[in-house]
Amino acid sequence: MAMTPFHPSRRQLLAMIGQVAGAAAMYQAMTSLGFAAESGYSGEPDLQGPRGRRRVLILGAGVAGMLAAYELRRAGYAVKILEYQDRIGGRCLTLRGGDRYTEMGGHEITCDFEGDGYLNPGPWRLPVHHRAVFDYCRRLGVPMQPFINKNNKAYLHSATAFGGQPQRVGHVEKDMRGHVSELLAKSLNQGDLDETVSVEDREKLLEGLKEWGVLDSNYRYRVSDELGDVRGWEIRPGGGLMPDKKPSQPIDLSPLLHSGLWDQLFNFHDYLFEPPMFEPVGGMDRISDAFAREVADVIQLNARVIRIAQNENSVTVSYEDGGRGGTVHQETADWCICTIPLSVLVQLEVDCSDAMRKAIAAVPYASAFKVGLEFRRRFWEQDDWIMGGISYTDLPLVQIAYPNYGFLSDGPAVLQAAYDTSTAGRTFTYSWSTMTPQERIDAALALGRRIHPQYDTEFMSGTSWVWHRVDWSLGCYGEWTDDLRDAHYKTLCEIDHRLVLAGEHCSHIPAWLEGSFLSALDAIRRLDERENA
Amino acid sequence: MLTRSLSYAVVALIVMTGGVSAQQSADPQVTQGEETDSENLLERFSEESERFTQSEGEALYRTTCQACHMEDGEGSAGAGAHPPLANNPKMNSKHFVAGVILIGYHGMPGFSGMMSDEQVAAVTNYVRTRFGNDYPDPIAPEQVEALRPPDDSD
Amino acid sequence: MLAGPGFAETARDAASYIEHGEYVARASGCMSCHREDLSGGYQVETPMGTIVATNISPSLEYGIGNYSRDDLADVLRRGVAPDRRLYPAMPYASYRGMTDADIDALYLWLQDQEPVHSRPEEETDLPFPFNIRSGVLAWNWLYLNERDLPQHDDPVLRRGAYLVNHLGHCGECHTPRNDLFAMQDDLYLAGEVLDGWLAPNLTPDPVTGLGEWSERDIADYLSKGHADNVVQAAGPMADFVRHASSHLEEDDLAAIAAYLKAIPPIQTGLHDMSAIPPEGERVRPEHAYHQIRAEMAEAMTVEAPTAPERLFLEHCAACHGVTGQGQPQAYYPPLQQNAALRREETTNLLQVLLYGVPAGKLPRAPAMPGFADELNDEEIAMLANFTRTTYGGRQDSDLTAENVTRIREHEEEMPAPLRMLQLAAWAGLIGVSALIVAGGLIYWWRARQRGMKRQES
Repeated sequence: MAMTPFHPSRRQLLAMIGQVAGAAAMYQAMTSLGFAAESGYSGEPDLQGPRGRRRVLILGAGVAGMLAAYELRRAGYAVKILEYQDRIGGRCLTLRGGDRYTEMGGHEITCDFEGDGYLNPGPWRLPVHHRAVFDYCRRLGVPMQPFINKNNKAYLHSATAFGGQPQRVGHVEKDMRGHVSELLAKSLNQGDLDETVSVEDREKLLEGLKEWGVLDSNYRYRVSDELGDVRGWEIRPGGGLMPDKKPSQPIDLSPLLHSGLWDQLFNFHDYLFEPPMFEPVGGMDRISDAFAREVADVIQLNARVIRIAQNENSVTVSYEDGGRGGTVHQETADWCICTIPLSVLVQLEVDCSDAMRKAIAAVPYASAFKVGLEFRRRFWEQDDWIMGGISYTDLPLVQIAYPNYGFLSDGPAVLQAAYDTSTAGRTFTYSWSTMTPQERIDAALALGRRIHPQYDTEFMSGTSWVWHRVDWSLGCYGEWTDDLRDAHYKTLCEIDHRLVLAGEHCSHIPAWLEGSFLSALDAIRRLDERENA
Repeated sequence: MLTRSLSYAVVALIVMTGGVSAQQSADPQVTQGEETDSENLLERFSEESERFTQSEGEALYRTTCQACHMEDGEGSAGAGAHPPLANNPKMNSKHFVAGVILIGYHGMPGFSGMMSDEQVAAVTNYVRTRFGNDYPDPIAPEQVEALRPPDDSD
Repeated sequence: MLAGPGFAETARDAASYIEHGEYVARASGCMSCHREDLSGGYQVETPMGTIVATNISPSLEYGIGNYSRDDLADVLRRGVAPDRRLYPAMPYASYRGMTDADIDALYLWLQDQEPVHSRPEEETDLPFPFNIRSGVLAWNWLYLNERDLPQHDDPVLRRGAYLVNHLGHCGECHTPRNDLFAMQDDLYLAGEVLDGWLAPNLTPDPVTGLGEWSERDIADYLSKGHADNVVQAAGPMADFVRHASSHLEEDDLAAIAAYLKAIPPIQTGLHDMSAIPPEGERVRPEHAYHQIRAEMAEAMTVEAPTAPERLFLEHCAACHGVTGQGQPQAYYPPLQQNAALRREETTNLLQVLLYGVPAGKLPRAPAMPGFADELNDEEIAMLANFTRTTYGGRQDSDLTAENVTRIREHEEEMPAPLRMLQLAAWAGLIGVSALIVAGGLIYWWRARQRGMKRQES
C-alpha cells in the first residue's frame, strides 16, 4: 500500500527540538567534529639534530628513504641506506630503450624504444598543490615541464556508443553544459523553481545560462555561429577564398547520456587533476636521480633485509648481501626508518608491538599496470590533432596518454597505451596482470586500434609494467579504506621504540610522490623530537 | 550491464575484421593466427568492468590469481614472495582458501566485491584440485557465504 | 516555541542532538536486536518461546513513527507501548535508569532515520498464556524494582555504572535469571547461560570473571571484539560488539572497564585456572611468514597421527598453526592460552566449533567456519578435548559426543514454575469454561424446572 514515509521536515524537526530544548547546552558540549587541521608541506624541516653521534639506518632507497637521509644528514645525523635492488629510486622509475627487467614468474620485460620516448611505470604527473615535491625539485634542480592532463581534443570513447567512434572531450563537455543550461532555463521559465529562486536571481541566472551554455534567444541549445565559436567548426574559418565556415553539430542529449561519455568526463574532475599539472623534463626518475646525487654515497645496493631487531636503545638489521640466500650481515644503529612496502615488510621478522604488526599486515596492495607502445610517427598529432593529454575508453585499456614533449617532431614516439589501478574498482587491471609481457602488448594493440586505427601500420615495439609482478613491492601502493585507516593508520605511523615507518603507505595521499615526501618529513621530524626529548 | 557484454562482442567482431584488413595491409608480420590469439587474449577480460563475469574456476584463476601465483601455481619469490598454491599444506583448509579469496591476506587484496559465492567456490575448488593438489572436499557456495565479510547494512 | 535561539543556532542544536542520539542508540545496543536499519528481526530465545525484535524505524504503520517523545520514554522505562505491553526481552528493566536527556536525543535520532515499511519476517509467537501481554503486568509488579546498586562519587565510575547497568544493559544477559525469567539481584552480572551461549561472569572474580583482565583488555574487547590475542567475542556478544560497543568512545570504554573492575567479585566457579591468563603470564605467540606451511609439511610426515592430530591438521592448522600460534597479525586467533579453551565451561567452545564465528567489525578479519556439517559429534568432541589439553593448558578434558549433541539440539527448556504456570493457566481456562458450561446447564435446568412448576401451578 502507498505510505507516506515519515521524514521530518526542517520545521517538524525544530518542533521536536522545541519539545526537548532544555538540554541543548549539554549536547553542544558533547559534540565535536574532531577534524584534524589540513596538513601539508611547511617548508624544509627544522631539525634540532642529534645530541651526540647518532646513526640512523634507512631501509629502502626510494624517494622517502633518500629524502630522509638527505635531511637527517644535513641536520648532523650519520645515515646509511640499505636497498634491495641494484638501482635506486624505488617506484619512481622510468623505462627507456635498452632497459630490461625480469619480473616475478621469470618473464623478461624488454624496452626497445628507438626514439627518446619513455614510460613511467609509477608516478607520472604532479599536481601543482603537491608542494613538497615541487620544492625539492626546485632545491635539487629538477626542471619541470607542463603535463597536459585534460586536452579538449583528446577522445572519450565507448565501444557501444556512436558506432564505436570516439568523441572529443571538448564536444562532450560543451554539449552537456549546453543541454543542462537549456533544461535549467526551461524550468526557470516555466516557474518550476519559483520557490527556490527569486525573480531577480532568475533573470541573472537566465542571462548567465544563455552565455554559459551558448543558448539561442529562445534558450535552446542549437547549432549557430556563436556555438561554432565555443564548440568548434565543421568547416573552420579559412583564408582567401577558402570555403565558408560552418559550425559543428552538437550531439543530442539522450545519446550523450546513454553513451557513458559524460561519466568519463569525471576523470578530469578531481582536485588532484586540476590543470596545470607538471612532470620532470625527461622522465620521472629525474627526481630520484636528483636525490641520488645527494646521498648515493650512503646507499648500499643489493641488500635484502630479513630481520629488524630492536631494544630500548638500538636497532639491529640483518640483511642478505646479494639478494635472497646471500650472506647475512648486520647493521646496528640508534634509529631505523623503514620505507619497505608493507606487502614485503609483513613477510620479514620485525620486533614491534602487536598493534603495529597488525597494522603492517592490514593493508592490501593495489593492482596497477601500464603498457607503453612506440610508433613510427606521431599520428595522434598529425592525423587527429591531439597534442598531449589523455583519451578515456570503456575498453579494458581504460586510457591512452599522449606524450607532452617533442610535439610535432618526426620520428618515433611513445604512447602510454593502457593504464588502470584497482582503486577505480575495475576488474581489468587484475586481468592485465596475469598476462606475459608479450600478451600485454598484443592486447593493448588489439584494443587500442579501435580508437587509433593507425596502430596497425605504425607500431614498432612495446613495453609494460605489472606492479604485482615486482618482487620488491608486491603490488603498487597501499590501498587504504576508511575502516582500515580508523583501525590502523595511527599505529602504523607511530614510532615503535627505535623504529618508524615511512613511505606513501604512511600518508593520506597513497600512491603519490607527495605522500611519501610528507611521510618521510613527518617521520624525521618526530624522530628528531624523540631524540631530543 | 548488457551493453558491456555487447561491447565486447562488437570488439571481438571488429578485431576479427581488423585482422582481415591488417592481413591486406603492408605489414607482413600480422597473420591470421596472431589475430585468433589476441581474440583469445581479450576473452580473458571480464565482460563487466566492476565484477568478474567468468564462472569456471579455471577461467577465474587465469584472469586473477595467475598474476601472482603464476601459471603453474608455484608463486614466486624475490625480496618478498607470492606464496605457492602447489605443495602448500595450508590448502588443506577449503575455508582458509575461500576466506583469503574473499578478504585477502596481508598485501593480497580480497575479491569479495568482485566475485559471487559461486565464483569464489569455483576458484577455491579449482586451486585445490590442480598444481598437484588433490583435495577431495569441495566447498559449496553457501559455505563461502558464511565466510563473507559483513555488509555494513546488515 | 522557537522564540529563543535563531534558526541557524537551533539547526546546529538539531544536528548535535541527533548525533548524540545515535550515540545513545549505539551505547544502548538498539541495533544489535533491531538491526542497522531499525527494521527489527533479531530473535531472542526465551524459556517462554521466541521473541522477535520489532521494527523501530519511523514508519507510521510498521514502526514507531507515531510515537511521541513520552511514548518512547514509556517503552524504554516501563515496557509499555501505546498499543501493547512489551515482554522483558526488551531490556526496560535496565533502560529504566536512562536519563531524560538521553531519551530526548534518542527520540530525535530515531525519528530522523529512514523509515522501513515492512514487518520483520518472523513474529513473536508465544504459547498461551504468555501470549496474553497483560500477564507482564504481574511480572513487572513482582520484578521491576529499583536494583540496589552501590553509588559512586567518582565521575568515571558513575559513567561506567550508567553505561553498564542502564544503556549497555549488560546484566540482561550476564545475570542469572530465576525460574520466572527475572534477574537474580544477588547474582547481578555473575554470568548465565542464555540462548545456548555462556554470558560469562563480569565481576572481578579471578576464575570465571574479569579478575585477570586488565582495563585495557576490557576496552579492547568491547571496541574490537578481541583482547591481547587471548580472548575473542563470538555468538551474541560478537553482534553486540559489532553493532554497539565498537562505536563507543575511548573514554566510555575506559569508564566501563574501570567500573567492572571496581564492583565486588562474585565467585561462581570451582577452584579452576583463570579464564584468561594474567597479563604477566601471557606467552604472546607470533606467526612468522611461511611458518605454518613449514610446520604443517613436517607434521604431515608423521607416520601414524592420532585421530585428533589428523583432524586438527586437516581442519584447524591452516589458520591456527600446528603449534597453536595462530596468525594474530591477520586476526586468526592463537589457540595458545585462548580463553575459549581454558574455561571450564565449554558451551561457547562447542558452539564455535559447530557454528563458527561470522566475520566481525574489524576490516579484513576472517570469519571462523562452523563444522556442524563436516564433522560428527564425536569428532567435534575430539577436537575440543585435543585443543583444550594441547593449547588451553587444561590437565584433562573429557567431552563426549553427547555433550556436543546437547549443544546441537539445544532448545530452551521451560523451567518448572513456568510450566506450572502454563499448566495452571490451562487448568484455569478449562475450569472457567467448565464453570460457565455447568452454570449454563444449571440455569437452563432451573429455568426449565421453574417453567414446569409454573405450568403445574
